[in-house]
This record gives sequence, C-alpha cells and structure tokens, in this order.
Amino acid sequence: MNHPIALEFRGVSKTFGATEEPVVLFEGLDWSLGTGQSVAVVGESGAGKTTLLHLAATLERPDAGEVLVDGRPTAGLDERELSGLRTRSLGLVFQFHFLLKEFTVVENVALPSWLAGVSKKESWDRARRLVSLVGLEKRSQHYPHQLSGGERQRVALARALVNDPALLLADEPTGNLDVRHARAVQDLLLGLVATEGKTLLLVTHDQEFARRTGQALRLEAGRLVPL
Amino acid sequence: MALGLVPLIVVLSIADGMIDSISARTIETALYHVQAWPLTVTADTQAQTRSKLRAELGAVPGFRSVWPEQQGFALAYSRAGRLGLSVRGIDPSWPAGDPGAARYLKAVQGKLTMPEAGSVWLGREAARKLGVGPGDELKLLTTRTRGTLTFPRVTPVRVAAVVSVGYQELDRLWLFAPLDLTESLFDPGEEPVFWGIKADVPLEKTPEFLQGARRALGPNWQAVSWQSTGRSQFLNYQATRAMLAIVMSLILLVAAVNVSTAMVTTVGERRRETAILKALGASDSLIRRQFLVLGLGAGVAGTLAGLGIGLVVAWGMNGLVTGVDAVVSLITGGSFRLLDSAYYLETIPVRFDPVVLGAACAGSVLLAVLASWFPARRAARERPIEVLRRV
Repeated sequence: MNHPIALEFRGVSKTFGATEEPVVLFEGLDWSLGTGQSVAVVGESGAGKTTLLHLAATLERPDAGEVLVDGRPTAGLDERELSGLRTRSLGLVFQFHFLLKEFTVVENVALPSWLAGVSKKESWDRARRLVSLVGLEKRSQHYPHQLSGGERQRVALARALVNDPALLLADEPTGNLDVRHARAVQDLLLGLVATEGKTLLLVTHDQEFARRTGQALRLEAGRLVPL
Repeated sequence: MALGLVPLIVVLSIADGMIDSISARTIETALYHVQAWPLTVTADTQAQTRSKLRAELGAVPGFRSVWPEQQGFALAYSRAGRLGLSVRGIDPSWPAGDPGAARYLKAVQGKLTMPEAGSVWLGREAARKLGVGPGDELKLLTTRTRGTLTFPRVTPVRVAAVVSVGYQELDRLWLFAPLDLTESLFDPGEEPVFWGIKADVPLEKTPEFLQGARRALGPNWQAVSWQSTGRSQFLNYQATRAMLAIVMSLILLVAAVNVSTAMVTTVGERRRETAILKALGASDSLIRRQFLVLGLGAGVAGTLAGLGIGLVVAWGMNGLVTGVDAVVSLITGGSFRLLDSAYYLETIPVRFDPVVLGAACAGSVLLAVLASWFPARRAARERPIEVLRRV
C-alpha cells in the first residue's frame, strides 16, 4: 500500500431497516485514515461502529458515496475484484474469532494466503511464522475447540496478518474475552501493528483500549468526533 | 445415486441379456440368418438345389449351412383338446446337422428323430395343452385351395418327441414335421418351400453377410435377413427396452433430487463457514466449485456403489429369484414362483454392455453434478455479512 490515505469515506450514506422506519447510520460521511495510523472508534451499541468497519472491509456497500482503499475506489469493483482486494490488502479480525472448526491452527492461519493464490508451502511457512509470533507455536496442530478464547483470538489475529495487509480492521477483538486475556490480545495487536508497520482501524466498546491507539474517535449520529 | 442406479443397471443388463438370448434362439431355430426363395421354378430336386446352394454360398464369408423349410398353419386335435399350431416342414437331419439348432432345440421327451413319414416333434407347451407325449397320435386339420374351392384335410401324425427351445412363447407354437409330409399338406403356391441359410457371423454383421449371399445367389433368387423377417418382433424388444430404461431413469432422477436436497441442507449447514471463507477473500467461483466438487464426489461414490451393487444383483438374479421362491414357498407351504416360466426364458439371461453401463454411470454422475448446481450457486451468492451479523 503506497497511497498516503489508506482508507477514505467520501460522502458515504448507509441506511438500514424498512422503508417506513429507516435507521440512518451515515449520511454523507467524509472521513479518511492515513497510512500507518492507528485509529480506534468507540460508540454506543447501534451507533454503526460495525457497519463502519464492514463498509471499510467492502463486505457492505454504501447506499451513496464511495469507499476508497489505498486510494482505489471500490464502488465499481465486482465481487471477484472485491474478493481479491480483501485477500491482498485487508486483514480482518472479528469479535468472534470465526475460525474454521475442521482446520488446525496453522491451517486456519494459512487459509487467506492459499485463497490469494500463494503456494501451499509458502502459505504454510508464513502461517507457522505468524503462529509463532502470536506465541502459539506449541498449539499449531490443535483445533479451535482445543484453544481458549484468548488463544482463538490470537489465531484470528495471525490469520489477519498472513497476507501482509497494510490495513488491519478489527471489530471488538477483545469484546468476548475476560480482562486478563483481553489485555494480552490488546498488547499483541498493538505491538504487531507497531512492529509490522500496519494501519489499524479498531472498533471497540473499551475506551481504555481505544486510548491506547494513536487516535480515539467517537461515533455519534453518524459523525466521527474526537473522544 | 446408488439406489437409483441399481435398478437401471439390473434392468438394462437383464433386458439386453433377454433380447440377445431370445434373438439368438429365434434366429437359430426359426428365422435363420437369411431366408432365400427362387424367383423362377426349376426342374431341380431339393437335393440338387441344396447342393448348388452350398456350392454358391460356400464362398460367402461366414456361411455355415443351408436348409429347406416349409411353413403352414394347422389345427391340431387330440383327446385332450385342440390347438392352432405353426407347422414347420423340415429336413429331419436339421437339428443334428446345424450346431445352432442343436444348441437351442432340445428333446425334453423322446428323441429328435422322425422314424415314420408321419412322425412329428411337438413344442413342450403345445404338448402340455394337447395332453400328448411321445408315441401319442395327433390329428392335423389343414386346408388346400383348388380354384375357388377350399378342401379340408385331416392327417393323423404321431409324436416322436416333445421339444423345447427354452422360450415358452416358441414352445407353444411349433410342430415340426418332415418336409415330405408338409408338401402334401400345404399348397406350394401358397406356402412355398424356402431355404434357410445359417451363418457364423456376429448378428450386427448380418447385412454384410446378406449382401454376400445375394451376390452368390444371383438375380434369380430373393433373399432377406432376420432383420426383415423379424423386424416387428425386434423393434418391439427395443421399444420395450427403451421404455424400461426411461422408467428406470426416472428413479435416477428422483435420486438426483435427493442429492440436490442433501446439497441444499449441506449448504445451509455450511453457511457460517462459507461466509467466513468469503470474508477472507474466497471468490464466488471458488465457493461454487467447492460445492460442485462435493456433488461430484457424492455422484462418483454413489455411482460406483450403484454400479457394483447393480452388477452383483444382475449377475446373481437367477439365484435371487430361486432364493425368493424357496423362502416364500417355505413360509406359505406352497409352490411359489416369482416369475411365471410361461412368459419367460427358463433362466434369466444377463448381458453387461460396457457402452450401456458407461452411459448409465456417466449419466448418473452428470445428474449428481447438475443437481448440485443450484445449491452451489446459492452458496456462492450468499452475502457473508448477512450470515456473520447473525452470529
């Protein structure tokens, strides 16, 4: 990713719900995230934090306006091109780990790399390195159900990084963990972002976690304001 | 797909076996490979004509033998009853001199000889219906026309043998008599003597043999093959076989619907995984391909299982039928017959045609893949976010 703006929302509008009682989340939102920056977004439930992240991840399309990733408009891309963009440029971490239960730790981590067309050997090599980086080398052949919640989220984090994406999108990555495990995952995430030089968009309820990133914003009435 | 393929394979293998078996019996014992008639009357005796035909046809590749025959209709009377019969005037040495006839025409009572001028062989079912056996007398009512008048004639004959070709339809029809006798029973103008030519060629090569025979016989003879004389009969077999194949294919279609239903269920169960894969960057075509491969795997596995079971069931059908007969007879205390032999061959013949089996298997796999297409497309079109939101 070479563009100075890693992520940009230009006049983005998004409305949910039935036509009689629509819920307007965003109306003409203009916002950008510079390459290498780390930003956390907090807000009340239903404010649109997850939708903001899904729009950034191209999993959701805006009703109006456009989202640019690395300076590239995504509105005109078809599903195949969007899949390619997600595989190469974006790393996603969800509140729920979303690991595939039939796959081992290393296989789960290698999957996006293999989906991007990288050879199996190269994908597995990358995965093993990242599994080691998140401190789970002894668990690499375990299945998700054999891991604790914190361990699963660390695997999800490793998986998000396997294609070396410049932009990391994390949706409540510690929202489902106890305090001790949450702190460990936070440390790991922020440490990796710093050492690997990633751009981070983090969505969280946890204001303390938000403040640990470089910039914390609050989502209010469809606008992003400093916390 | 396995359960759908089993009946198709069994039915096709048995239908092919029965058609082959009945065709071979009919051709070797009734139709001949080629039948020939002289278009002009000659002064030659039958022995002279036969000698000439042998010499002329001897050069035709595949020629085996040639036999005179005359066919007519008679009403047979016995003390037990009466029955319309197809009377076949033959050279009494025919079954012994022709390996094809010897193979299928067997004496079940008496001997295949005609010691007297009035000796006849009677088909097994006909003998049963008339209540006669070797040594018994039978009367044949025939008619001959002179001018505008028709004269009935009753001829006493004696049964020398009760014969069977193993196919009850034929055993019910025939009475074999010496040609000398039938020439006195039937008008040669109405029921002329023809010459039956046997060949050692595969049945599908008969047209080539017919062409050779026609060239050898010259323009004064007319010759037709079994494909003409038995045309309606063989078309009937093929039509029946096609109908059976269609009906059995419907079972395969039902199996394909089951595959489709199972795939829809699998797609539903795998929605979460599909959504995760798509969120991680899996393309629609990859997701679609994944489910199509699953359908293909199910189709191939089901087809292989169906093929194996079908071959085993078809191959062991006679034992199966015998076993069912024995078990049901044991339970009911009677004499149960699953298949009435009056309408079938004595045993159920089976033929495995690699082309037919290959086509059935290919069709089965193709149906499974087609049945997976719509569920696979639905999975590919799933929007990951709608699934992930619900978690």
